[in-house]
This record gives sequence, structure tokens and C-alpha cells, in this order.
Amino acid sequence: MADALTLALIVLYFVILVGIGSWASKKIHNTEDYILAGRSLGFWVFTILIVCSICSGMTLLGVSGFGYASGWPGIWEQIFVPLAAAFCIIFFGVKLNAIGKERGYLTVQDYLADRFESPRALRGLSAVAGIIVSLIYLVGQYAAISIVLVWLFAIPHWQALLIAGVIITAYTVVGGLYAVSWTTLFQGGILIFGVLLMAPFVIASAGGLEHINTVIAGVDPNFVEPWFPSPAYASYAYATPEFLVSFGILLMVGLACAPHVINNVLAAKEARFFKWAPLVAFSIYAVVMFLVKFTGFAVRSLVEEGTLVLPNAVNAQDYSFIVGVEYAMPNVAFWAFFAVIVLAAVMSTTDRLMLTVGTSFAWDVYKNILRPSATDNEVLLVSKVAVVLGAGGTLLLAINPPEMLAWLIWMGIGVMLATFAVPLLAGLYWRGATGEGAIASMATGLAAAGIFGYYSKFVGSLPVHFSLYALILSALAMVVVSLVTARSASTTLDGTRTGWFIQSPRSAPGAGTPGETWLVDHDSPRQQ
Amino acid sequence: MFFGLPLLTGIVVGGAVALVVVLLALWGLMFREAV
Repeated sequence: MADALTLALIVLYFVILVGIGSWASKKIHNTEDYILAGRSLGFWVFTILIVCSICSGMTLLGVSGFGYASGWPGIWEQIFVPLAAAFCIIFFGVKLNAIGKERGYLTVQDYLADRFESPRALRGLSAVAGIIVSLIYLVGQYAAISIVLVWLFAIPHWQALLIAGVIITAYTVVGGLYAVSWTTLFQGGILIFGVLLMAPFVIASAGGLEHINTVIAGVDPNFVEPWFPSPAYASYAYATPEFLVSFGILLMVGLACAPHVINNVLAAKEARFFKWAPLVAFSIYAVVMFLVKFTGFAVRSLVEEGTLVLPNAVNAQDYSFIVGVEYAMPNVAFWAFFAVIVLAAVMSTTDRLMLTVGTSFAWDVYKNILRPSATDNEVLLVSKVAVVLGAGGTLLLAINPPEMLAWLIWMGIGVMLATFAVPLLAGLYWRGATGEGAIASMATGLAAAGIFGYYSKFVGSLPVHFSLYALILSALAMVVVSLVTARSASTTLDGTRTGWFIQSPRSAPGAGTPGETWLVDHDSPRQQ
Repeated sequence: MFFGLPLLTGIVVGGAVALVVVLLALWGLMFREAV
């Protein structure tokens, strides 16, 4: 598959990434620079970072594959996932960014520890849960990278992993979030431009959207309906209305509170970015996702008409985008560019995950729990070592990926939803939420996600996604335990802007810190 | 028919996207910038 042009483009691409990493390393002077790029991210760097942290290799391969297999009922994924970016910015970003600057948070665990007055237990639990989920996700990303490189260059699996791992680790270790965010802007630009350029060709080559819809409706009339009828009648027909509701919550909220996504809001330079970032992030992401999905429909149509044949593989539908572009754009120059696009999609999530694992361990576990006296330089060093160790470990796992990798990744998103959503939302918006409630909620969510996830995989199918049950139990645990325990101090609640608002409804622009005056007289009578 | 889709699908999916865009635009318009 590889030719000189493809090889040259990929080498150039890697050189640019390492170059950005080298430039970024000069800007790192302390831990805050490394973890949060000195809270200096501009509008576009921040917005594209949020989008590309969510948008992984699954976007190109999995989304088109899902479109191939399920038709239009799966289109909701293309609304829910981009909505995760908007949800994260609006419901978490506005408050966390402001409080983070005031109180010096470097990670979202800093917020949880501060708001719930639990410097060790909650911080430790959330950090460990975040690191485990990120590591699972990371194995999946490396597996995807190696699939792309093996397919491009016909090199052994381990060589592909080593090349990608060394390059990503190099720029992430030396440049921290500066490197990750700027390489993501570069990679995101390539991804967006590439999909906008290539998907229309594939759709046109299949006869246009109207013709494609007619063909796939002939395969199963429900392929052109907005959802499958309930109960599901075939393995691909799980997108029933009730499942889609749980799927929507899972994707929109679960991805929004994933550690590698939510931590980005702490790094935005100015609060005013949150005005239009939700709409811009959603629009860009949705356009890209819809086009990729339509490519999956197009390839299904071409296959049904006998024009194309998918490879004989277990997950044959995941080759839809690749096969579609190969068919529609035989020109070698486009092909080389396409290789870079696929790599960009995968690598832009991988680096953010690696940095999250490293910084979460160094800051939340090492500095704040194991060795509070550690100096800034020591934390920086531990952070870098943790990135390298995390990368090494996941690379080893990715050489022989667990058979149930796809299930593990979905499990990871479910765990993120069940573990983090309730403590974060209740912490930010409910003054009655207590530290004990947060720990109970997190532990219940984690355990319930494991139990329901196991049940849905190995025992029997559930009408909705397993994570919804875990989320409900997690919320119940938060409410019940919070109501019977002493609430957090008013100074803490006021300092962390806790209350039923995003931006304070009373304070006029320029009249001081939003929320300050409004908070005090809205406490319920129940006190310590 | 809407691009070869049943009208219901076109309305539901198109409507959902339009609703999200309108809500996010409203968010942008109502956002108060600190002065």
C-alpha cells in the first residue's frame, strides 16, 4: 500500500509533530505550564482540542462502520457525540474554568477534593478511576494506530506500535499540554479538511445521497427510519427509541466528563471563549461526523450493488471509510494524504490520554497523596516518567490486544458516566451534595457499572445501555447519603460557586465575581 | 421524500440538528461576558 509519496508525507507529518513538541518544550517552566499549558489556550486551540480529544480513531473507522451496519437509526451518534463537546463546555467549563483560575486547580480532581472537602479519599478514588479508564482507552487507540500503519506499510504489528508510540511519547513528554494542544490543532485541521475533501467524493461515487438511501432502504426498510422498532429484531437493530435515550446520555454526558476531555476546560485562557465555543465545536464536529457516516451509507450501497467488496475480516464494516476512499479517489496523492488523516484522528486522542494519565498520577496521586512535600521539578519529572510508563504499558497490551477490546472501550465510557457525572454535576449545582455523598456516588457508580456491564455482556441483553442503571444508582447514592450527612461549609460552597446556575443570574456584568452575592441567601435551612 | 428518506426521518433528524443549533446559538447570545 505504501509508496514513496505516502512515506514522505507521513515522515513529514511526524517531523512536524516532533518539531511542535520541541518548540513547546521551551515554554515549560513549571507544573502548571506542563499540565495546563499555562492556562494560555486561545479560542481555536481550545475548541479544536476539545473536539479532537473526543474525536478518536473510532470517528473515521467506527462511525462509518456503524453507518454501514445500521443505517440511519445510528445517526443519533452524530448528534450526541458532538453535543458532548458543547455539554462539557457549558455545564462544566464555565464554572470550572473560573473557579480553577481563582483557586489554582490543575486537574478536575483538585476541584472534587476542594468542593467536597476530601483531599485524599475522593481525590484518590477519582484519580485512580480516571487513570484506569484512560489506560483502557489508550490500549484501544494504540490498537487502532497499529491497524492503520500495518495496513499502510505492511510492517509487523509491533513495529507499527513502536514507531507511533515513540513519536507520540516524545512530543507529549517534552511539551506537555502545549505540545498536545498545538499538535492537535495541526492534526485537527488535517482531519477536518481531509474529511470535507474526501467524503463528498465517496458519496458522489455511490450515486448521491438520494440514490444511496434508496438502495439501503431495499436492504432493510428500517435503515432509513429514525430508529429501529422496539423490541430489536436483529443484532444490528439495537438502536430502538429507549436504547437511544440511554445512548444519548452515555455519549453526551459520559464523554463530557471523561478526564482527558473535561480537564481541557481548565486550560482555556479567557472565559469569553465559552460564549461561542459550544456552537463552533458542535458545528465542526457534527459536519465531520455526518459526512463520515454518509460515507458508511455510501459504501453499504456500493457493496449491495456489487461494485465493492469489503475485506474478509471480523469487523469488515470498519473498513468502510478506507475502502470507500480507495474506490472513489484512486489518485495516489489523495491516498497519501488520506493516510495522514487517519493517523491524525487517532493520534490526537492518544496524546491527550497519555498526558492525562501522566499528570493525574503525578499531581493527584504522587504530589497530593503520596508525597505532599514534593517540589515542582520533582512533580514534573514524575509526570514525564508516568507518561513514558503509561505509554510503554499500554503499548505492550496493544501488541496482543484483549479479545474484548471494543467492549472494554465502551465499558470505559460507561464507567466514566457512572463514576464522574453525578459527583461533578451535583458538586457544581447542588449545595446539598456532600463529600460522603460524592464518595458513595462514585463507588456505587463504579460497582454498578461493573455489574450491569458484565450482565449485559455475558448474561442477557438489557433494553437500555447498562450505564443508565449505574448512573441512576449513582445519583440515588448521592442524594440519600448527602441528605443524612453534614453539608460542606458555606465558605467552601461559595468559594466553589456552587448553586443552581451556570452564570450567576443576579450579578450584572462588571459587578464583581458572578455568583458571590446570590449564593449566600439561597442556602436551605439544613446546616451542619 | 427528503433525499430519498421518509419524511418522518427527514423531519426528526433535521429538526433535532436544527434544535441543537438554535439552543447553542441562544446560549451564545445570552452569555454574559465579564467586563
